[in-house]
Amino acid sequence: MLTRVVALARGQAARAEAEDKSLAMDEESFRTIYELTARPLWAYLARVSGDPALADDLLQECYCRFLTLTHPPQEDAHRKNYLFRMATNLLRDHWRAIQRHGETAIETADMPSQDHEVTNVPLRSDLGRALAKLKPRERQLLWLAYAEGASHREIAEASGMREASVRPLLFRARKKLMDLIGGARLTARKA
Amino acid sequence: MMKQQVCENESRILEALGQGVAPESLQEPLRSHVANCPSCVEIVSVYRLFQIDSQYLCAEASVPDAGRVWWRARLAAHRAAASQALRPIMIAERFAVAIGSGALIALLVVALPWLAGQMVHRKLFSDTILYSFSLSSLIVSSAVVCLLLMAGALYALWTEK
Repeated sequence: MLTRVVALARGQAARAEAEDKSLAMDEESFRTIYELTARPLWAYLARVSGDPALADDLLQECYCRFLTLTHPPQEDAHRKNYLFRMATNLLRDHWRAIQRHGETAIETADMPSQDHEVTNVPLRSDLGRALAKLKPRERQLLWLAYAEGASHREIAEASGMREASVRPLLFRARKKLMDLIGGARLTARKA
Repeated sequence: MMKQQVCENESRILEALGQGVAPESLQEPLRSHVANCPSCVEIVSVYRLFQIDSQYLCAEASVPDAGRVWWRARLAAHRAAASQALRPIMIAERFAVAIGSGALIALLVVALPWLAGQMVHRKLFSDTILYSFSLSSLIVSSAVVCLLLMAGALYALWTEK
């Protein structure tokens, strides 16, 4: 009986390898999707996490998970939303892991990012610095709404909150950002 | 100072901006609303800031090659498939180790009192010494062989992991 089990298992393993049914699509289709979505997704991960190296890792993990989906989304918009939701979940998992190791809390603490921006572009630099002072969830909301042009429903889906909560939270995050940018510009002018 | 409220038109404006419509090209009455509503003016300026930043980051991003990501995903999928397919073997191995351990323990439980009894008999009846010694040594050597096999099986499992 044991030999039958072993033979069956080995047969399954060999078949899985030979047929390569494990991935959701062929390489060319994946390449097309990747070229369209990878850069905006990386920008989101880099801005929200504040760490380009972490953004690289999470981006790869995100696509690896996407490729192993049994039924990947077919429409472009749906696919993009799905990828952003996965990226958000991966970020959340990463922060939870940090929290478990006794570091800063996700929702309550400020998580200043390592701002790797080029400082000779004042407009971008102001935004980068201001975003770094916001909480991760505020950064997520702002980026999804204003950089990705996501609707409140899409933001709610991606961030795992109720749609009704998105509008006031987004409003507060925007006010905070504007105060920070205004303050920074005022300081720059005085200097 | 009057407290600024969340504007009802925010999602409509964001939707239009997301479709690439410039604030000046918005349809009426949304266009005149954007011109007069402080919250919407703010939305438009924040939107522009983020668009510039996003374009800059997308242009500067050095994302890994698609082929590399594909290869990594393929490797992970193969590993997952292989581990799933080999699960019955792992279960069978664990089952065998458990059965072996149980048999060894049972053997020791049964053999030890018998061995002790044999030792006593050996003292009382010196003429049966040779027979007792050979039987007890056989049991002890079997136990040692079982222990060695167990150790070997455990080592094989450990190295596989």
